[in-house]
Amino acid sequence: MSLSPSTSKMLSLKSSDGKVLEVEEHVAVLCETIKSLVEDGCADSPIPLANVDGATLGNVMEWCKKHADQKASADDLEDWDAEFVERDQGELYHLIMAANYLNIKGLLDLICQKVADMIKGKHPEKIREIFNIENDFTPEQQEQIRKDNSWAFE
Amino acid sequence: MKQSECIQNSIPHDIALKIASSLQASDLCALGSCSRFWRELCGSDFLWVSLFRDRWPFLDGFQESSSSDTNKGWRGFYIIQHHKMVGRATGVIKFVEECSSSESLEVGDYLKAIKDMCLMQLGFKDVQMFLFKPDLNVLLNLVGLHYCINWLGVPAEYVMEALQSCKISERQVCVKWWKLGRWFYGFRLRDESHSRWVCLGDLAIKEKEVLGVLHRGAVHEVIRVQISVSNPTSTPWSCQSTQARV
Repeated sequence: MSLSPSTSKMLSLKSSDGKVLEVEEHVAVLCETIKSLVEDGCADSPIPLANVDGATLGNVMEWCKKHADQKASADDLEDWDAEFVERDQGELYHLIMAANYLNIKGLLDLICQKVADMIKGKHPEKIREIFNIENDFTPEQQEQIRKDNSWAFE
Repeated sequence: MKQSECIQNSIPHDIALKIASSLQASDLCALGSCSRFWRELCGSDFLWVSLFRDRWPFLDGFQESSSSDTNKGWRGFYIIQHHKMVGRATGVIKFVEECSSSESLEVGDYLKAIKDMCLMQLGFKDVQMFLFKPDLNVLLNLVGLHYCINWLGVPAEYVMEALQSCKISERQVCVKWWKLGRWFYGFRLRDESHSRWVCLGDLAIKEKEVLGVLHRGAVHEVIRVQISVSNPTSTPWSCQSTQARV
């Protein structure tokens, strides 16, 4: 479906905190979840998105808008994406959850790759710090894990 | 947003797996050392079976490790195989270092090292890990490079990428070869000597002739091929060809 923006229908999306966002249909249907609602004819009233807050929904739609733009070249999108994922881990977490709920494979792949890149080459202490992971091992377990993994860090 | 909910236990299992599946073994071990949740996730067979197949595409993990403890799962197989490869690569390194005590290597020994690697089924990743180290003798880097291109059939651009990320693409070797003089109206012409200075990066991408000479070895009209780290004080070629090992 490639409707030009001027003829594209508008959809209302309602976030978990009650914010309503007007989005062009050809942008919103990048979310598979919304696309099926549109196809089933259930997209008339504001569509309630119980698992996505307003700020995150805004970010997700910004991504969808860029990726629905047929004029954007692959290089352009890549650069734009690289800038888009420069966020703190809290925002990334919400984007992952939203991309999963709204079923946007491209966005989910992008954020997961970003998170993996943030892990690469780091020590466990640093990874815990970045993602606020609580160390719930006993000292004995900790020592065992250190031994079990020694081969990988030689 | 509460910090504690982030990328922790609240993240769906399949997404956590998706993130972990783009990590290499060492990063997976680091992530698995963070908490119980991540330890369990990062030990899953799903992740280690693909790491295993990715690193040793020609091996069957179950067959390779059939004699060992089957309770260990794919992570266990991976570690066992890793240790095997460490041992094998150490053998190759020792052999080449012994043969190249004066910083130069005869092509016969060079090709034997490569053939040994073939028999040991070293993979491209093994070569990157064990032989593409910048602190090793450059001759060992070269043995690894040659093996990847001519035996494993790794595309030159991938090898180049690996050389660059290991910071060894600029390292230089000198390859010399001597050819028996041709017959000309009943007289034998003087023997020919060739020498070429090349860096590893050029050898992977451009210098197909040099790699060809190394691959062929000392056969027929080629009496000797020598690979060296630095230019040895050159003796006249005529003297050298008499000491040649054919």
